[in-house]
Amino acid sequence: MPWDLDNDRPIYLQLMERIQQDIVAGVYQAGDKLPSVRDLAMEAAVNPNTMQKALSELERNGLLHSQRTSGRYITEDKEMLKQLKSDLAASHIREFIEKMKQLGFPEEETLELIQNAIKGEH
Amino acid sequence: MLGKLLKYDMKSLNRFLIVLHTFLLLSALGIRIFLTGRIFADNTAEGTILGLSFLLYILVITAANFGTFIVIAVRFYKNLYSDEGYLTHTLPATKGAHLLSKTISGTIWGTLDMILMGLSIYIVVATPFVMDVYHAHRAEILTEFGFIGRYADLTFPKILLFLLIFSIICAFSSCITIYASVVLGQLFSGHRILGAVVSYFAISTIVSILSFISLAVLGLSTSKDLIYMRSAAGEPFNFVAYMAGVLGLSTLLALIVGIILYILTYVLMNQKIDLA
Amino acid sequence: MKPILECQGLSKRYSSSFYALNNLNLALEKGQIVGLLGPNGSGKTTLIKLINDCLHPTQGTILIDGMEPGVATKKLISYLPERTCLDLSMKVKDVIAYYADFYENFVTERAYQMLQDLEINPNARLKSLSKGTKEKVQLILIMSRDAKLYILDEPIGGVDPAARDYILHTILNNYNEEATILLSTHLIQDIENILDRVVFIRQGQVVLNQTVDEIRTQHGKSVDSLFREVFRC
Repeated sequence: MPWDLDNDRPIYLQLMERIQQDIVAGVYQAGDKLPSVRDLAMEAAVNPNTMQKALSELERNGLLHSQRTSGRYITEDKEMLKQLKSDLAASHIREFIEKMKQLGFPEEETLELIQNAIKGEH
Repeated sequence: MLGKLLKYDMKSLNRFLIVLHTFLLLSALGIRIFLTGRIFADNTAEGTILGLSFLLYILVITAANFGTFIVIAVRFYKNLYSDEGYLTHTLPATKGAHLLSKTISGTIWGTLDMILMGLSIYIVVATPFVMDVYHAHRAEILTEFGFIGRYADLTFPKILLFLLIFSIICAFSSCITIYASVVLGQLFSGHRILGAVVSYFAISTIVSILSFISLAVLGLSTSKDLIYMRSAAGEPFNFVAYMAGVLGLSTLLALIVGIILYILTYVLMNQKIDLA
Repeated sequence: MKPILECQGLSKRYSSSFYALNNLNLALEKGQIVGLLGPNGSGKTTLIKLINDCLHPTQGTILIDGMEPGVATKKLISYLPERTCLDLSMKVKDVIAYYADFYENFVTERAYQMLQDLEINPNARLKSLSKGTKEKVQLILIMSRDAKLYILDEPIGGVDPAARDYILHTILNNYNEEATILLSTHLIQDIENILDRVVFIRQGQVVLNQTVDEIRTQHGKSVDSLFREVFRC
């Protein structure tokens, strides 16, 4: 199943986001080995060079580190993973609030709606 | 690489030509068994049937010969200049190798065609009756044909060898005439096949004129006047001498024309021809 | 690094007035998947035929891995023409043997594996196959070579979406860092994600040569949308 990618944003950015997402969601655990570039590219149905670029960027951020011959691993720095998780959460929330504003909800009402939604769910 | 090209060119020609020549030999056998073998030509009616069956057989032979060169032409055109050409031209082989492979395979089958034609004529004609007549009058026939003087010691194998060389050169020259026509036809973009046909007739006409001129110059024209003139000059007309002269000259001419057309085709293939 | 493909001042004139290519310049580095995009009649196929020595250039030079088109470059290039170029009287297995016979870098097992994946009978005659299946067979033959440069002219035009996915998968799977793939197509959207770079050509000249992500960063839109904009009628 190819990854779902937008048409208008750089592909490598979207690949980075998707991998970060997978790490946060626990598809990969801290210290896990990542599949090879080729396998990931095949899975995503994207160009291997683009996947390579996404992984290099993640490596530069410190989220991944490569062992010369044996491949790429997820960082074992728990602090960093936690940070990533809250960063992602923050960005989703920002995006959500932005959209609610566009719909004309003030922040308090948005909060209320969220609380109701959560209550309704349980 | 030439070997591999040749393998596939031969395979492709074999598919059609083996069937065609099997038919040729079978019909020769048929005519021999049902017609010529039963007839003794001792009355006019049977003589007529014999004549007619020969006529029929000449048609079969002509068809086989024509069919052979059509198959050779189609293979060349289809393999090099139809859509298939995109694969053929991107094989790791030079254009010269393609031309050589096609020329060798075409010449082999052109020669085989003539050998099998000869064989089938032998099957049809050499009935026991005819052979008996021949053996009974061997000396007279040979003299009449002109196997005398310097031609008296022409043995059968020698004649066959000469005919074989003649066949090979003719087959080569016929093939390369076809190939040159196809390649010239490629220059008429939009009318490539028509161009090939026109080129073929143009080349054939030029070659006929050339050969007529050279035969005339050497006094070997089929024109009766020439024959009479020579007879009148005190030299009796000799069929063998005449045929040897004609065949020898034709062979030489075919060889020269063949070589010129081969070079022309090679140059055009390498420098000019675009695939459609 | 020596480019795998280099065209300089390349022109091809068909009739006295019509230039299919007009002073085209293009250099491609190794190890990329490149989309050659342009409207009908823009010169894509002419360029591809020139690279494959099926046409003679009117002017200019082409170098493939530093060599002019010839026997040596034909060993390096695996070319899928726009039309079926196989002898249709042959069986599938015969064409495989044919390719194996002529191309040293042809991997027979890979071809049979792909035939099996796509459920194509090796004993079938090409004549008896549907148009789409013929295209698949041809693509299998092309991708079964370990070539340095793959040139695919409209590789996914006539096949169904499932086969298209398999084909793109095959292209990705066989791709290695040493190889370069140049493919021309109208169906940009389907292949956009597998491309490194796109080359737009119009009226026989290169009008854009950028990586997909450069285009997206710079223009904020997909290659497909940019194509529609550049070539708006």
